[in-house]
Amino acid sequence: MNFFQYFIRRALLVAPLLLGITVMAFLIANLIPADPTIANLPPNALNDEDTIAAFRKKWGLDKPLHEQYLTYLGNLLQGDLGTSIKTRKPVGEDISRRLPATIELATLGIIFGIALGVGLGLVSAIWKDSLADYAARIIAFIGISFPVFLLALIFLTVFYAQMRIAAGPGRLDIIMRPPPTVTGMFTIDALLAGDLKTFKNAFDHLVLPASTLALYISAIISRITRSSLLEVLNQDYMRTARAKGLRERYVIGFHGLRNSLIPVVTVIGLSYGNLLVGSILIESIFAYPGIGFYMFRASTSQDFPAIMGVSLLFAFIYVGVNFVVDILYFFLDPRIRVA
Amino acid sequence: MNRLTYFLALLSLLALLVSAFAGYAQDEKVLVIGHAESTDSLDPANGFTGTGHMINHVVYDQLVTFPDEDASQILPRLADSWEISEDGMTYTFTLNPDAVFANGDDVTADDVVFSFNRLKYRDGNPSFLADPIDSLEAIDDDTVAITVVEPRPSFLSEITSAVFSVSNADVVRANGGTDAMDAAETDEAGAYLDSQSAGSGPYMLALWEPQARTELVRNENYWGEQPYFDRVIIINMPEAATQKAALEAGEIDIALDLSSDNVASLVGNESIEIYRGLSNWTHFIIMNTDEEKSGPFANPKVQLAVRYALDYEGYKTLWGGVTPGSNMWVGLFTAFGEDRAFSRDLDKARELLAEAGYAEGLDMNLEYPDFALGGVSFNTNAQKIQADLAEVGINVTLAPGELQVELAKYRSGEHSVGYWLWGPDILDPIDFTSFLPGGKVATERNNWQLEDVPEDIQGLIARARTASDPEERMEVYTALQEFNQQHGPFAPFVVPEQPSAYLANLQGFIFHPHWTLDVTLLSRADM
Repeated sequence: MNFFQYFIRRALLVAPLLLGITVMAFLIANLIPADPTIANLPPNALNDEDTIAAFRKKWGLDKPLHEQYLTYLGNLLQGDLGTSIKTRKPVGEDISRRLPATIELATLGIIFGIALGVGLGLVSAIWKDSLADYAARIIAFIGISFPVFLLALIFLTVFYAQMRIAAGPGRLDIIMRPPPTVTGMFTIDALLAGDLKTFKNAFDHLVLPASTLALYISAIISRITRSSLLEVLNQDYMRTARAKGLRERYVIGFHGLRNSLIPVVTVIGLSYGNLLVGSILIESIFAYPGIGFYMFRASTSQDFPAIMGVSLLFAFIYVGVNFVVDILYFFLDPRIRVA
Repeated sequence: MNRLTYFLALLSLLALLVSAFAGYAQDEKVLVIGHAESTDSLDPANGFTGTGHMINHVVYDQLVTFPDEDASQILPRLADSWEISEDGMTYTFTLNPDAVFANGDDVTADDVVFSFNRLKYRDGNPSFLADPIDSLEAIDDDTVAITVVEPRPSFLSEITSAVFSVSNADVVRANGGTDAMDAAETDEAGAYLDSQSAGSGPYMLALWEPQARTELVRNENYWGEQPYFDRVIIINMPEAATQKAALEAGEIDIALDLSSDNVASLVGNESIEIYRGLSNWTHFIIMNTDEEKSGPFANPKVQLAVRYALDYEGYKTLWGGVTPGSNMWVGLFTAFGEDRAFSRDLDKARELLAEAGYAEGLDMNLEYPDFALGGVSFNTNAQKIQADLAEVGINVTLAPGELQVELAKYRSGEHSVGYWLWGPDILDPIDFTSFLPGGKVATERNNWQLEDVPEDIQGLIARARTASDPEERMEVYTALQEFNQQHGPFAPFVVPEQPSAYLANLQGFIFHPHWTLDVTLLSRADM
């Protein structure tokens, strides 16, 4: 199988997957036994039949479910995600305004997460059953078993409110103004504007939430790195490499780590899902106005168009990342090329 | 990995080099409020949320207003004076001739007519509040007459709301606004009013970034006394714990939405003041008067026994605040406060249950939302209710449910015995009629019909809806609250405190039941 065939085969699987996701998201959002009129209208407006009828008509809630879905799908195909009930702005516009903030955070989060996860995994595997191994495994254990919002709160309280060594909520200090918008990512926009003070401030504000995300996703990465590397370390070719007289660093770095990467790459792809879910809670606690923050607000007020929009975006990102992971296998594992 | 390390090192090095400071002018007096923003729109005729009220209260002016801390009387604002016609149908307001909008235009009677009509026809979330208005007439530049559909003693209290803000008709019209009857379809000023204001208040809206921040700047043309702060920044921090952390770090001046548990750990911090205002929520048990739904709890004797069995002091220990004497919020004119509230009397409760034929005890199914508001947990209170009632032989089964699900059941009167809370829709005693037969909670939600109560009480209820003379209101509402205490299907048990915290150098913090916080009252002491 050549690369082109492999690519097409993988790509064809993505389309039905996304369609399925629209159905699932739509059903989940609509079948919960809750009434968006109650969530979105003030209590005393709910005595007024006209206000309720106008609300239901305005948001298409008076139509049967399948009709609502087909209308939604039709609009979606034209690139229209609908209008948010809560912000009263087009969902696409809301998302594009908030997405750069989340990309900035998620990118740093995944970099920190991979560095921490692979690092801990290496330490655990190389010095198996040593004190360092136990320490690394405890960190991973905390990361995986602690509720992420609690971790975020502890970080915020300890490093920001008490020790004052980290920047707090938001994307910038409150008195700072955002740099001129180019990409919407404050760090990059500040650099483009040559404004290092703002760059530093924006970066500082990313450190705590990104570290929380990193700890959250690094747990699983480190566990997989450890077990995968341990398996590889016992292979014959490792003994051969050592017998050849190669330095230990080279044996592990080149022969060991590289061959243990496939499961790690898979897990990083899957971790992206955790990262997005984690962002919903973390952004709320850090008052960080990204997509997760938007989703949290949308979910608590049953803002269906917004929930659908973000769910689709998350699904799209998740499917996209795992598509890239599939493509990476092709390069990492020669056996796929043969199969 | 090496390249990454190099890149990060380079970034940090760059970051250490200091460049031009991109912030606000150094001598500006800035107030920063951490707040769980609820704004849906800042167009006074369209938005209807707590945050919107707080902002529009100072960005726009209303005809009349309340005192700084409560709702005990009506004070002039844009209107210098007003007259109510004999039949209680027409209110004539004389506007303050000094009043000008932020752009320098005079505030005229036409602006009032435009704003109220636009509210009425805009079909926004608060539009129903203008339903009682029949017609508006600008008699001259400074005189406006408002006719109501039927006598409405609470009308002045109602128009203190920021929803009844007076906006500059010319500016709103120029930006697509209209007060025509088809305003619901044709008014397009919403987007404009979400980014700028068209009012005459002490502040102007400078920026609203939904769910992130709102900025107000001082209106240099303000016709009244200038406020202390040049700029007010409201930062959206939905989590109380985040607000608390930011306050401890000194990054915000006020943490507006704390709860009792957050506040506890701030006690003793010298740089922070804790404010324990009264929330406007009354927590109460509601017992369905439909016997098919609630069985023994439809019996007034059993209902009274429940009121005697609750450990009122215990709820105050948990949440602060006061014990209400009735379902009328304790901050309102004529409301029964703690001096008229129930005290626990277990013998009396047991006696009443025996009289009703339940000496051997009975079962209650308590339905409530799995929910917390302002840190006050329904689950905790429900467990306490369970323990309190067990002492008189009422065996309570707790039946919590998802908020929206329980709310739907409650609103349609399907519950057996419920536990809910109530905040006044209108800061006027008339709000209490919701808890009387014919009212929203009593009848729609609890099946308590007018014909279930004696004729003299029916007469009092009718008078409560129309009486506007303060003495008469005092008499009528006192009698009705007494009636509900003895015969009603409700057991109100606590009005919890609403704690906030602020930096100790801030002065003038007052919590208001309607607009939460009036930022014009705040100033900063020199430290």
